[in-house]
Amino acid sequence: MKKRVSIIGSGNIGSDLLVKFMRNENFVVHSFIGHNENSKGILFCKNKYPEVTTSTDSIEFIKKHHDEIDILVDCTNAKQHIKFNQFYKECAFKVIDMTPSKIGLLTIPDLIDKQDMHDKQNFNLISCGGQTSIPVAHTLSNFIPSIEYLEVVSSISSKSAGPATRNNLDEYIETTELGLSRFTGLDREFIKVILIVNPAIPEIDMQTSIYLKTKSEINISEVTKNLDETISRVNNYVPGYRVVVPLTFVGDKYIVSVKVSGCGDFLPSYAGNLDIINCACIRLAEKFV
Amino acid sequence: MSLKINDVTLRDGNHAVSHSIDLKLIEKYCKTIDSGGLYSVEVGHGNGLGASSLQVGLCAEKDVDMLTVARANLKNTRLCVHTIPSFATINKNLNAAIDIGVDIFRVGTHCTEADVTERHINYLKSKNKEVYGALMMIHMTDFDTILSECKKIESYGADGVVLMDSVGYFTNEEVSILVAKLKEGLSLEIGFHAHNNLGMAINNSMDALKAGAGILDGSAFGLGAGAGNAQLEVLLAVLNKNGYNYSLKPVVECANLIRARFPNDMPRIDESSLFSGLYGVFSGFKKHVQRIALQYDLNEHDVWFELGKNSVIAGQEDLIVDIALKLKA
Repeated sequence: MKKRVSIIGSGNIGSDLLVKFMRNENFVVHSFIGHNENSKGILFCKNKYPEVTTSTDSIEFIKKHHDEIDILVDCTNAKQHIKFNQFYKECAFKVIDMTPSKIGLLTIPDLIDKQDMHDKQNFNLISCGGQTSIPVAHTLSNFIPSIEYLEVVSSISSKSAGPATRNNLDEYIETTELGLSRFTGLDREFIKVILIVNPAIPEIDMQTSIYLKTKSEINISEVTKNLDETISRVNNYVPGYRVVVPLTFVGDKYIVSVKVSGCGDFLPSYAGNLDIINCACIRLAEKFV
Repeated sequence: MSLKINDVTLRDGNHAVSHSIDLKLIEKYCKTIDSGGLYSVEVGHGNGLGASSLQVGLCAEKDVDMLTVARANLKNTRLCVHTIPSFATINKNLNAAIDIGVDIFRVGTHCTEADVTERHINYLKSKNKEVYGALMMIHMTDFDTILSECKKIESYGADGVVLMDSVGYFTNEEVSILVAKLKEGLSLEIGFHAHNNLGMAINNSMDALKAGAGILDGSAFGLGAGAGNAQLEVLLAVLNKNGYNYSLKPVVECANLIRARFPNDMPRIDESSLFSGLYGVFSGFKKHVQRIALQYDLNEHDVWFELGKNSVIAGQEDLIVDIALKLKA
């Protein structure tokens, strides 16, 4: 049976997810919820998918219909999510949290534990940089015995960084570092995350470099083989995800760089940073089917 | 003729020496410069607070140690830091710098992205600090955009804005026209931070001053990214010819300290600096480009040219490897 999905938050992320859920045969979109009748997202939904229920009653709508929903995707913001979660906790549906609230289980869809999927209700998708870098960092940590230090640098297009991103860079860094720490076992102290916002026109695709320092001897071809497998696994759910710099030794450190171009659904294809976290959401939701 | 001179030797200079300025040098330098009548001394990693990284370069010393030593040795001259949101966060970096007693914070960002500075500027102002917005790589956009970005910084409550010609790209009258335009459109104090990649650092600084800038940056012996900054002792001498009255002795002594410590890293307009300036690519990439060009047996010029073509900005050092591999392919 198709899972019934409700999306709350009708901004860019929510609207792009709407398109992705609508074309996926595992799901039926129960409702698309915002708080402003004239928001771009609500108008987009009414126009493109007249069959989908829209509402601008925000959490009040969920309170009325919670037992008709299997998966609730929250694309509001961290503050609202924490508030709304007081109610979500009472419900039977699974919650996928797209905000950096960190109150749910930090989740990479392909690295999720089966038991957690069953036991937990609230799943947090960390950040775009987290979804991009953690699969690579996790593989590196599996094959390199003693990583001393890990660093992740992402460059994104200025146009893909909305006001919320710009105002929450500190949270982005803290959440991504926490996610990297959880999936590599490395202490936070030895992890650093940097984000660069580049205004170049034509817009740049998201590019993320993962650096590491280690005293271990690395068998580059063996690690690369495993990295390639990881990349193609992620590639299954993020079509625009690819390696641009394979694992390379430079000076005193190793570097791997990946690039993400988006699917160009609701958002332009340069917004790979927004696309990858949305693709991760769909992948996770598929696991609940 | 109130003019604030900010000495960036111990911060921008770190780019020129792979971030190896040590505590001993910071101690000696600060003790010496403190009697020079300068407004402030900037200390830290080349990209500022929290920027010690594989991406930009690991720093020999920790931020807190550098700032603590500088703080203890500056009595008359204010202690200043450069800080870029996303390299630095409030919890990890700004709070520690506030606790140590840093007087001035320059919150830096790429010239078109001023809104990422809002939160940190607001926070630092709430702690009663002297705070400036610092627009980096100002050659990468037009003057109207710079004005509107400066207006944002003004609206965040900053005390001023510093224009950073991070690659020494400006020539002719551009600096005068830009500063005059900003003077007219803003009530903020304006600073100018020069680089010497095209040999214009002192000239551009003097043009900025004449057009109404109230803050000028310089560094002893010019030690800084690319071909270095406006050479501080020269800048003061030129200022003195224009009616100022700076004491040259402390800064010359500091310049000698720098030369004795880093004889092989003295700023000069070499191939790398020249092409960085010409193609408008961040000066701080110089050491990285030289190292990677050597590793992949590439012409430094070709790497700079490709970086310029790709509109790479400060903080994107990882793209140098990417571009080297493409050139090699």
